[in-house]
Formats: sequence, C-alpha cells, structure tokens
Amino acid sequence: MKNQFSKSVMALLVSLLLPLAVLLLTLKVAAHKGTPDVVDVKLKAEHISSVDHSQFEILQQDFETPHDVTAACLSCHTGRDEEIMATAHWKWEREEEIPGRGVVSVGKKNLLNNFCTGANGNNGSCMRCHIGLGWKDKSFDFADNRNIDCLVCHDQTDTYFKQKGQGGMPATAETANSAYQVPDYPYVAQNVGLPKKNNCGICHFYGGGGNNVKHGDLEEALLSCTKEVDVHMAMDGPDMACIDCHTTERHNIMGKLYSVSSANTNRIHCDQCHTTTPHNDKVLDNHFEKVACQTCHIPIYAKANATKLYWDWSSAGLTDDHGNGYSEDDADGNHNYLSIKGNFVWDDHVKPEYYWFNGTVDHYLSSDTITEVPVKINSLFGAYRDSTAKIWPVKVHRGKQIYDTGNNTLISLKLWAAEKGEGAFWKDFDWDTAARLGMEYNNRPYSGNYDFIASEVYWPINHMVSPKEETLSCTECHSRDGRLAQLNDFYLPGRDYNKSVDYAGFGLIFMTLIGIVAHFFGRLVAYFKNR
Amino acid sequence: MKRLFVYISCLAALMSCQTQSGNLSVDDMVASASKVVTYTTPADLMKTMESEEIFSVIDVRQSNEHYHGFIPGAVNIPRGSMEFNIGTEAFWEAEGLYVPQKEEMLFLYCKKGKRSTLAAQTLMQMGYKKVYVLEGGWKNWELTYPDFCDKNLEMLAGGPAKHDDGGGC
Repeated sequence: MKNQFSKSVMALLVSLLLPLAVLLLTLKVAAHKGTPDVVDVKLKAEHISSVDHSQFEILQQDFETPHDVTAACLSCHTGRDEEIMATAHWKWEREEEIPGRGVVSVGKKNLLNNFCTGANGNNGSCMRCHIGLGWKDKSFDFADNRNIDCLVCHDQTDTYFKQKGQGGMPATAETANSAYQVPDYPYVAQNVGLPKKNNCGICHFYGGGGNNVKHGDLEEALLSCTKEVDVHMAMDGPDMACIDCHTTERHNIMGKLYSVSSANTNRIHCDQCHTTTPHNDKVLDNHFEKVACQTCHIPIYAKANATKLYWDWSSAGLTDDHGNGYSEDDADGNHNYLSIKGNFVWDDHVKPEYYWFNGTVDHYLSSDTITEVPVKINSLFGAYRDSTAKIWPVKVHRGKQIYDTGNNTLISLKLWAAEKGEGAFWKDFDWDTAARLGMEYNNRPYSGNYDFIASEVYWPINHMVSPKEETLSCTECHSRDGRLAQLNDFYLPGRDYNKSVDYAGFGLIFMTLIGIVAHFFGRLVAYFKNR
Repeated sequence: MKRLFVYISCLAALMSCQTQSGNLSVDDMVASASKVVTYTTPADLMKTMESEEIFSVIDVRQSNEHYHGFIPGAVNIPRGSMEFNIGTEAFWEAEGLYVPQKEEMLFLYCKKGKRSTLAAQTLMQMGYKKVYVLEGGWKNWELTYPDFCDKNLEMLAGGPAKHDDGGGC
C-alpha cells in the first residue's frame, strides 16, 4: 500500500512538476548572461601637439595672405600637399563603382541635391566649405598647392573664418566688415593643431544653409552637449572629438557621407571599438547580423535643434509690395517660408525611417534623365536577402525642385551672385534666367521650359547615439505597428503572423494543457481505484 | 491595542511605498492616456474632411503656436482651456460655429501628439464619444500634406488693426 502511494506521488510529481521544471530551466537558460567581453577602449585621443608652433621663425612673419601661410606650413610639412590634393575634401569628387553603372565620378562637384540643387555655379557661397582658397569660378587651380587652406582645419584659436560670398577666402582689407575681419595670420599660424569639433563643424554642421539643415544628426549642439544628445561627444561624458572616430591617415579621413559618395569603402564601424558582441546577451548580439547598431542606439535624431525634412522650391519667389524677399517662421522659430528658397517643414526629435542598406548607393547623375517620381537623388542598395545589408535608420529629405520639362532632367540653378542683375535667383527671382545660367555653367542643356517635381534624398543616421537606457525597446520593432512596419520583405517575429499558423499553435498548446490535466486526473482516479 | 497600532503602522508604511499619482511623470500620464485614446492618421482625417460627416478639428496648442501653421478649418482651443471652452456657446459663436455635440467626431492635434492625447482623455471623461487624436500631430500633417496648411499672418503681425472710431470731446 505504501509502495503504491509513493508511486502515485512520484507520478503526480512527474506529470505536474516536470513540465514546470522544464519551463523554468528554459527561462533560466534564455536569461543567462555570460561574462562580458572586456575591451580596452581608448575613448579619447590625447591631442597634445609635439611642438610649439609659436617658436618657429617662419611663422612669426607678417603674412599678407592665407596663401603665404600655406607656403610656410608646406616648407616644413613637406609632401602633405600631395596627400591633401588626393582627397575628396580637395577634389569634391571621387571615382567610385556603382552597381549597374561601373566606375563613375561622384561628389559635390558634379552631383545634384534637393536642398540648394547643386554647388557648381554658386561658388561664391557654396565653395566657402571647400578646403581651398578662392574657388570662385572655373579658373581655380587645383594643381597649385598654395591654394590649400591649412588653417580652416587646423586653427586652434577659433578666430579664423572664411568670409561669406568669397568662394572660400577669408576677409581681406577690401572685403572686411563687422562680421568678418582680416584674420591675424601670425597668431593663427602659431596656434595650430589637430582639428577640433568646430573645425569640422563649421562646414558639416551648417550644410544646406543653416544649422542642422542637412544631416539631422550633426549640428552645433554637439559642441557642448549632454549624454542624452550624444554619449560620445557629451561634455558630461567622454567629450570625444570628431577625429577620435574619424581617424585619419595621410589626410584621408575615415567615414562616408552617402549624399556625395557611393562605395562601401573607408567606412567607420561601431564594432571597431565595441566589438561585434557587445551586449553580453546572445539574442541581442545576434541582431548584429541584420541590424545596424545605429538602428537601436539612435532612436531619434535632431535631439537639440530641428532639421529640415521638406523643402518646396515651387513656392519661392514671392515678394512684398516693394519687390523684396521676406520670411515667415514656424512655431519653433525656424523659417518655414523664405522668398529665396520656398516653403520648409522642420522637425526635432525625429524618429528615423528604416531601410536595408549594404553600404553602397546610387545617385541621380547630372547626365541622367528622370525615370521615376519622386526622383531619387540617391538610392540605398540593400535587401533582406543581401547578406551584407542591415536595417539602418535614415533621414529622408523630401521636396519639390525645379526640372527641365523639355529634356526631362533636374536643373542646376544659379542661385547666388554678389549683386542684382547677374541672373541669380536669390537676387532677381527669375526662374528662367537662373535655370539657364545654372545649366550653362554646368555644361548641360536647358530647353527653356521648367516645372517642379517631387524628389527625395536619403541620409543614413550615425550620430546622436543615446545612452543605453534610452535605446529602442524590443516592442518598438517587434510589434504590428512598430517602427519596421514598412520593411516587409522578411518575417519579423512579433510583427508578422499567419492566422492559420497562430490557431494551430494555440491549438497545440491548448491540447497539451488538456493532456496534462487529463493525465493528472487519470493518475488521481487510478490512485483512488487501486486503493 | 499595541498590536493593533503595530499592524496599522505597518499597513501605512506599505501604502506609502506604493506609486502615488503625484509621482507620475508626463510620459507616464501620456502612456496611460494613450491606452484609452483612439488615434487616427492624416490620411484618415483628410478622408473625413472630404466627406459629408459632421466633425470638428481642434488644435490644442497655444495660440502663438497655432498662428504659425494649422490644419485648414481647425479651431484653436489650447489644452489649458479645453474643459472651459468645449461646451461654451459664446466661444463657438465667436468662431462662427455651433457647439459640437457629444456624439460628433472631434479630431485633436498638437505639435507631436502628447498634449492632444491628454486633452482627448479629458474630453472622453467629459462624455465626448468620438474623440480622435492625430498621430504625430501637426508635424505629421505638415509632412503628409505640405500643400494643405494654413497660417494666420494677421495675428502673427500683431492682430487686426485697431480702429479709432472717433468720439471724445
């Protein structure tokens, strides 16, 4: 009798407790966290100059022009001019292979965009961000090493500026005004060093005509931000400079801007510091295969100041009663209408859009005709079945821009001129003349007929990394209306479902439970019967 | 008696450890409200606007935000005065409209959707049955229908010109 009782107890234990034990064991294994990978990360380089430039006699002269400063730099830093002249920062173009096109030249020199349409022909204004001195027109000599502007990247005094409207030249005695004075060249030349945040930011923060207009994740707030804005550049964190990640060899700066480049080369990857298994959690680490780190760790961008998300050129050109341009602001104080540029939509704390991206990009080239609407100024390559592609957060800038209805091509506009009457749209508000002169400068045909067409450009997001506490939670993506709702070329657990499979699964679970309960009662009945 | 006192003290201590409504952050409040509020998209709102349905679109932002850009036809009732104005005849008369009935559709929006979520919860508590919040708010509308937006330039310029109709001695 006693033996029978103990057998029944054992049966009860097996039928009820064993499934429970298996469940608990499974949960325990799933929650297991191994030993963290210890990485010897040096967050910030020690940017201490090995020499005191103020001691050099050659830098103590009264330089008359920035070209003379460059000559003095190169007299010691021999060979650096050749390095610089080989970079895209100098050439504003690079030869890259685009799948389906072969090797083509792409860069700011020859690409169009849906911000100010293109740099070429607007040199006085746009070439202020070239690392040369005085690229005012086609006569600029790219072979003359004295045209390199060493100071704009290496100035440590924050007193050296290129003047607006001077094609990348600082103010001279003739052009100086209250905003731009002639630089104190000996002082600046004697205080040079590795580029600081604002040496890079003076161009990369203000692209498109204002702070954070273009990138959305690169703006002046990064000069002194908190961890919430960017964990790497935070003043209350590692306070890293751009060049701590964008390492440089022979003046070639690592990193890729896909609005002007195409190939999967010269890129920076998070895993260079953080390894490919940084989470101490297998499930999360497995995401690395298909999800870019940025996707979870940059849940929003434009965290401090707004960025432009929409630009409608078609409404530009309205003037007041006196024929002058005017502006209107949105509720946050950003211009949402400018006579010279049209209507805008700005936003801050923006959720990115998500696309597959394998590191290669196609572009609308100036020789292309329009084949689709909206016109894709650039297109990110990648798909789920592409083993090199990952899900990437992207800022998409949409707009309407001018195009040639006769030739079916996007138009490069002449926007900038120093004076009225030179045909620049920003002075004369004449679309036809601005289109004709812009296309002439770029050696492209113009039929004389124009209209406006929708376009979009894709900017993969890399900066403004959030603290780990603010990364995306699982359900932000693994849910039916989550962030990846538009990426539907693959099965995503938690998002995708099939009613029949769901019913079958629930049915199996239900039947298993019934089986366990029936087994339990069977044992009970057997026990009492045998008793 | 002593034991009773100890029990009550323990109970009071336990209760004080619980989350009090006074400790809620604004995100907690929005998250809680979002569970009971119904959201709609700009496309669905546009469909309603093009239909014969009876509805009101209410911008719950402050008036100085509203004037810079709003959905055409929207009435501005800042969230702070929502409870006071939603059923007040004088307010709606001044807007040239009638007071919305509790069975009618109300579409609420703010800049990005948080304030309107809280305002919608309030209106639901007041008995309004068909309250919808525009997902993503004004920013989402502006990006979806950039050509269908309005501004109040007169108010941005300081309001209507004040006329001196004479009088005096």
